Amino acid sequence: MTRYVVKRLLLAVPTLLGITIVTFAVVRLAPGDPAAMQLDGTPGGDSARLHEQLRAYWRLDQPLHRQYAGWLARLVTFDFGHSFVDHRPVWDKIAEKLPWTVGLAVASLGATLALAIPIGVIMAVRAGGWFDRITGVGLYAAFSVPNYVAAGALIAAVAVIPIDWLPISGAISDDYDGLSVGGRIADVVRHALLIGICYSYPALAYQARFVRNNMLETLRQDYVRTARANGLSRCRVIFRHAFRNTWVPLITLLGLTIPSVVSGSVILEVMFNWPGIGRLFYASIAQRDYPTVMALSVVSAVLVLLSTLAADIACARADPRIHDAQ
Amino acid sequence: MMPPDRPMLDVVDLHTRFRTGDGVVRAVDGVSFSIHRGQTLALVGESGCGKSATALSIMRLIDPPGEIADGQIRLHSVDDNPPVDLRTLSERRLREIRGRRVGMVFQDPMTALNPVLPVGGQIAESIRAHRPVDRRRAWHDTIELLDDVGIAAPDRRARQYPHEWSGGMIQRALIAMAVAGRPDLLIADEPTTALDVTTQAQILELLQRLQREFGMAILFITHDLGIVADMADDVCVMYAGRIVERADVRTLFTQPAHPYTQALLAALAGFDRSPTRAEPIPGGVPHPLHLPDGCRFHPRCVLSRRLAADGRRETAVVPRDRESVIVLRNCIRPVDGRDIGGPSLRPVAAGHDVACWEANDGAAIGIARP
Amino acid sequence: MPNNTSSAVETGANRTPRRRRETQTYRTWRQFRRHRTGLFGLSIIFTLMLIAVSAPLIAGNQPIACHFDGQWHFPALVDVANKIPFLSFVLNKSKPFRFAGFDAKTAVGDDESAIWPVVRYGPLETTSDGLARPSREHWLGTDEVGRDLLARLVHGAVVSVKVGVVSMGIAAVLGVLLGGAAGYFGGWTDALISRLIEVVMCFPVFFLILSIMVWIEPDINNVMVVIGLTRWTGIARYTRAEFLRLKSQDFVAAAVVSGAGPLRIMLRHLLPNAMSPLWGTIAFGMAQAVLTEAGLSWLGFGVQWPEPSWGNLLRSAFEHRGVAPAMIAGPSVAILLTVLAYNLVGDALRDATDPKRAATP
Repeated sequence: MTRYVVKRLLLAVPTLLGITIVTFAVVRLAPGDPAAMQLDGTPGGDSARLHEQLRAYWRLDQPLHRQYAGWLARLVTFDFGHSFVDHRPVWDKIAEKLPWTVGLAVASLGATLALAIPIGVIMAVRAGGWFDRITGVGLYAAFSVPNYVAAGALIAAVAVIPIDWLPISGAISDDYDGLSVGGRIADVVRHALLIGICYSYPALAYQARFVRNNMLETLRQDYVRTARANGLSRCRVIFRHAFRNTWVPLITLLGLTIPSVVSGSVILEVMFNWPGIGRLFYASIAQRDYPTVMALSVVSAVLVLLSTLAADIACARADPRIHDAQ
Repeated sequence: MMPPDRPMLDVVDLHTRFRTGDGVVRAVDGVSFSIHRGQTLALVGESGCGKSATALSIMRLIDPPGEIADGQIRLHSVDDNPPVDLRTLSERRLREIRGRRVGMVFQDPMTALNPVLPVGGQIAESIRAHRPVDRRRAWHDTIELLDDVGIAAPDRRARQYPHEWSGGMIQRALIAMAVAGRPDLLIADEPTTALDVTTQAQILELLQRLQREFGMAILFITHDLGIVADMADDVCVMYAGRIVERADVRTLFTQPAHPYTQALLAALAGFDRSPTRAEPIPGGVPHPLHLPDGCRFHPRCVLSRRLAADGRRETAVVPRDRESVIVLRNCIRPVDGRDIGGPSLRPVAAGHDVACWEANDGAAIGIARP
Repeated sequence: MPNNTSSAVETGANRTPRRRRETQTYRTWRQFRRHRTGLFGLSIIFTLMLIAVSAPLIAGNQPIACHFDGQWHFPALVDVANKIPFLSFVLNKSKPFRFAGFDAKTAVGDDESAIWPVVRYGPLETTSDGLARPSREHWLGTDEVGRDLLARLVHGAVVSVKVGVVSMGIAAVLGVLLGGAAGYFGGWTDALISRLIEVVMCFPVFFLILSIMVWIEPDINNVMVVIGLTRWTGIARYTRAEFLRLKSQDFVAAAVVSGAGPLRIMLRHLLPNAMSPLWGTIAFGMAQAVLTEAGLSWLGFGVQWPEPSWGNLLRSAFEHRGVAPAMIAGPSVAILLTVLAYNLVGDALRDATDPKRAATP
């Protein structure tokens, strides 16, 4: 097991380098001197100072590979340069937005799994029954409604019939600082509810269907028959024997879908005015704040890499055949 | 102690069918047999003849789209309690039977254990499903059982996962699991088919030893007549969902009455030390959705063909409804056009039943072995 | 005890005679045909494509056919024909209709015979007050500057259809080539390409596309190319695995022995065998591409205003949600139906190509 983890971590190193190379290439392969070009249309007139800042950050006087090496060395220390817009260190800007996005993603993942697993298991156990059929159609429909379309409709609906306790914009109320601890939590939860639902329901639909189909498959396996022939209770057969074997592909699926969930955060966060990295990304692009854009690309890719790594290791823990096969 | 003539399990007129997109497959079509305490009954036949479906029906492990359509599966108890019909038993009561009073070993050991749980844990789990013992006690019993079925270093082995075990070892573990509850009846569904020959012999030996030790009855399902000769007391030969011959093992091998049994034996070249070659049975098992009219074996039957060649096209007289008689045309259907669905089992000698319209007994038919 | 019993007993199960060997793609289609929901999805897609191609015949301010100045003209039909590449060099609209200032609606009076499109407004034509509610004149209402929303929706279909087909076309070619090379050659090629796939998969697609879109002109063609360049990883992974599996099979060895080069083996022998399950992946990818394009246009990086696309229709509806909440219905339903249709087709294709799934409903 330890060997597997070490091996998996070592394999992630070239991927990590690849991520930085791609990001570097996107900046440097753009036509022209990035410093000069990036300054085109930059708001604020302090362009001479910005130019100097950029030249210093990218080390434009050095050859390409030295530029890359230098940039990489600075990345390791979380030095992503300074924002064009407010001249703050880019990492500070990201660090204050990151918890909102990660928090929302984790909460949504937890809620999704908590619902998707029981729904999927019940559907599989009662495959072909009314619950399976009705839920199946419902989940398919939910999966096919793009979440930003649903979010738009929800926001439009709330615009027509406002609901007092259900804010559709931002993450905290104006009087947040004056609230008690419980009040603050309730406040954030209220704000997070609609965006959380829009964030979660496609994943919920997909995961529940996935659990159902995989459970159907595992319930047909010989070892399930063995367990039943040995008089184990239905509950034990379903959860200990069948579900454990659905768990591994489910974790793999989660690892694979994380990038698209992060992708989806851009539009949703803009729509709901959620102060996460998705909205920061959008704002930085709109303002042509290149250092922030590049930093966010690297950070989000690394986050995805880390979560797929975690998923792989979790898989290996759950299925002894995986780490033995390596 | 139960008198030996009282059976352990009575299967009466069992019908199991599967609904498929193209029609209903009658996998088991009116099968009846009894197994006596401490005895071994072998169910023999080509693959697809309904042996496994019979075994799974007894365990009530037939899942939709399959169902047990009719029949009784009476399991007798050791004391004088009335027998229970497994077919109508509730799922909860059934769990007390499975593994506790009827154990089962399956064909393919490589897929029969859960790949993500340690072998020992799965056995301990079965033990705890039937006996109110704590985890440690169950683990202790597991090690003992594994040792008993011949697993070396059971302590270490029990902690391993199925993929670290060989097929023969897993089959031993599965047998240990099946007998953990000291069942009265063990159903062994082709337990050696997936194993190599030396392992086969070891597993068979193990089964026989456990049978002697625990005095359990065994329903042994196989397509291998050689194993039958070694293992069985009684034999039922199945063809296309039905039993075509039923006899004790000696009678079956010396005086086979059904042409199919005879053909199976003929396929066992050199079994009776005759210098003949193994003779495969012509043709194949009929498609389960397109069974032949009349006797299901007749398209492949040497006897039927010979009778036709002899010009005896309208032949046997079969009693029906005790009074009326009907005339058959060459094993297919009565001349009045009504299908009577093939021959039913009838005695040709004491304890020897045959489902063939033409057979009198093995000697009387006198089919020369090719 | 001779051990040939089993083989003797098991011999000769009677099988139905083997059918004529048919191509994988044809077999997939035969399976697909039995899938009702898949056919439903396919019919939606065909309808959508038909609408996209014939958009000027459905919504436009030029008549389909009219008798004007003693002559017959077919301006809308010519518009349709001009969408077909190269045909635009041959066909030109007849005289008064080709002038930008010419307003067919007022010039062609009611006394002259003319066949008009169902919606008599062009997608860029201001015809009423802004943000009008749905009415008999404007079935879906108008946008903020008074353009007919239905006309814009119909013309927006062009973008969605194009994006699905072109970007997934690029992605499929890239994915098959890279994945195929990785699977076929193995070794360093495989290690390199596999790493590349992993790296690209790590970037959230939207982030990657947006990062690239910063540097290039926001334009529908660029959007399609960028989506294609970022969406190939799934196809590549699949092709790689499939080629790895197939290349050890006998027919490949036979081809090698008969002197076929690697390209020929990959394209003629491996690809046809690996292709049929790819169709499902491609269909799902098309759904994603439509979604991505609409999302980019929503954010303002795709199709540029005032050109219509479902994404920027959705955006303008979103901006005016307080005044005209009904605006949101049209583009929402259009995107939803398209995504649903591609998903249905994708599912049906996957079922049709997966023997294990074929039995389950």
